[in-house]
Amino acid sequence: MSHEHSKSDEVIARAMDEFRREPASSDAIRHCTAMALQAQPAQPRHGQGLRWSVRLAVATAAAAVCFALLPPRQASALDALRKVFAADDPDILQHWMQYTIHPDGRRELFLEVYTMKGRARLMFSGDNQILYDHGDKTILHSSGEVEIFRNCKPWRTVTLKQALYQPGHEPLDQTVTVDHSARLDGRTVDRFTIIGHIVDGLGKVLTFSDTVIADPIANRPLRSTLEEEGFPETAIDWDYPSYSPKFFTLPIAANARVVDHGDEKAWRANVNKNLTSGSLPAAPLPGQGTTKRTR
Amino acid sequence: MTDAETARRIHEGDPEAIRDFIALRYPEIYRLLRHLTLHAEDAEDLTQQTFVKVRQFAGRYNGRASLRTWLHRVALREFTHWKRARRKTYRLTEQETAEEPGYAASLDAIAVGQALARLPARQREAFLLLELQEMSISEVAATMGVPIGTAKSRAHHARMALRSMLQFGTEELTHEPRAFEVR
Repeated sequence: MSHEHSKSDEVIARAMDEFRREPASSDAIRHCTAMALQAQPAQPRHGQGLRWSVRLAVATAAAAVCFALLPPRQASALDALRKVFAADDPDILQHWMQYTIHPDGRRELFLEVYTMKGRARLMFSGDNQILYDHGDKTILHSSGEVEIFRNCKPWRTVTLKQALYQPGHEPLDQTVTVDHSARLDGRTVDRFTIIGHIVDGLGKVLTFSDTVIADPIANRPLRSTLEEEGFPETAIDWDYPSYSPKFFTLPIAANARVVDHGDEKAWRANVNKNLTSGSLPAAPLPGQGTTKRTR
Repeated sequence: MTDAETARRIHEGDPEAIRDFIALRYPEIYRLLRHLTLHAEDAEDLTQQTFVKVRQFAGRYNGRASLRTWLHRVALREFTHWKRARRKTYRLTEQETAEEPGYAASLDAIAVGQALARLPARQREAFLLLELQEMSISEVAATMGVPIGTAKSRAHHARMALRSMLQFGTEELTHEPRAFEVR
């Protein structure tokens, strides 16, 4: 112990001794005694047996209320929904189609995707197609021209759970219910309804209402609709076809003009290097050949 | 007389037992509450309330801890209620402590009193029970309703904080007594 500590401890000890010697007011003690003598003992508690009986009765009643109301439905619906999340494996071959639902109920295809373990083919409705395959990203423009980037990161599929619960948008509250006798295309399916509230980036509380339709045996999602206050409703349909190479093949014409940009990271670095203040880099147009542009 | 017998007699309203018990225990409960509340009148009120509660609930003393430990628990509970009620009417307690006359005579006691007032409440409780009330660490833990390790840790941190405050304050006090204000 250091000298300073020892000195402080001595000061503390002396102070404690002094505090202990501090007398209490005799008037206060007299008054306190008088008040204590006037006080009446509290009503004796019930006997142990009765006390435990009351506790047991209260606990039983509480459990009955819980079982009668929310938890069983909630627990089973949530458990079943978790099984759907678990079965939504991004490594298996999935084919999904994403729609925008217009206010009149019309579904408009926005994106069609084949995905399997880092590989993906994205087909934007009426626009480009993009293929992620073995480190290559190939863009087939609607004009028929092709760009290729090498050493790209593999495709990462957004799972159903990630789509429902985006990071930073965890629900304030939610109610999950399940209908085990819903019908879809003539078959019996599980239909989950998830209704709750989230806080948006501006701190406003928004209501969301999602539905998930899942195969009751494989637990895989078959359809979901996501509706969030203030945003257009979207829907996704899933199916799980057997593998075919054509799912990951772009329909590139034989005489299509192809630009190979090489390593994507190097290409991006080169673009950034040539970025000048006040203007955007000149985008390499398909057919202009090199990506090794110099000033 | 055993603790259980004392509690039984208090419960039955034996005036002699009540008087003796209060005469024996009032000073230590008052001084504990005095350093917890940092206010003499509040400490007197709480001490009185503690003994009234003891009179009312002595029948529930089960003998698991000593009567003294049980009494301290009652006092700490009263202090906790007081703290909660007091949040709505916050006062500058440190200033009041410094102004109260006759509270501590020596500069050491003043310095320690003011340093204690700056400790977090839980640490102050543990330290006072251990050092002022001279309880064992297991009695401190039982009184505070926490594990022994927690009680030790709180008392240790309190002592470390007091040491550092006193080292700084003692130097100031040596050269310029009036400079020792609670900052």
